[in-house]
Amino acid sequence: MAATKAQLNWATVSFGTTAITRVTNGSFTQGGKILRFSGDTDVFTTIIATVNNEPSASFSTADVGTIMGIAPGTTNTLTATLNDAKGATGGAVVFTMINAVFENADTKAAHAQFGSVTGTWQAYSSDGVTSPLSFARQ
Amino acid sequence: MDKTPDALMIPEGLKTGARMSDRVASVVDIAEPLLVVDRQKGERAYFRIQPGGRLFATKNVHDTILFPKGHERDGRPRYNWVPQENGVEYGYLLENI
Repeated sequence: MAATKAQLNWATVSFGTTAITRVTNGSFTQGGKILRFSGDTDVFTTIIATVNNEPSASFSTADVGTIMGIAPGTTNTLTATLNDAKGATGGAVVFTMINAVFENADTKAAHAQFGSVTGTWQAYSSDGVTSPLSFARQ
Repeated sequence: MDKTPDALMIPEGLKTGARMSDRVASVVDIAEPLLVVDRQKGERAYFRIQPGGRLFATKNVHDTILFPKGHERDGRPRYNWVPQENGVEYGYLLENI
């Protein structure tokens, strides 16, 4: 089966050896930060420069216990696979965030509804230059 | 220098495709043969999007462009970069040269 070129559902999400299942939502961001400049009689920005990058990730799951069990500040590798829409070989993309620091777990639960927790991570670079967020084909 | 590079710096302009999986595949299709990735052994080419329109690709997800913070060679290049005709740069670990 050919890859559909569309992505559907996160799979094999893990933080170090901790598997994160029952995932309902997830995101990775490169965290680019830009600085704008205008001067003199400019009425539009004339320079935009990238000044910093702060990659981060967020995953929501019904598995409240697992995420709440991770202590803020814990550092490990966060990995997740975004599947091909029909599971075709070669269509899935693997996201790997090294040096991922667990930031927070935010749990919400309403009456007669499944509880949900959102875990957030921030990542740092080992050398200050190399992005901690990488991509690969499954 | 005619040997397998330890790393690649790939111009983002070589990335093709309209969807994410297409674009990832187009980079991987360049990187994996050059890095001699053995997928049967579980190896993969991991690439990072770097400022300046470059993609840094290696077989080890923990590789860095410079020596890491705290290393005795902190902030100095880890690779000797050799430009190729298509704009890709082959990186050879300095400790292996």
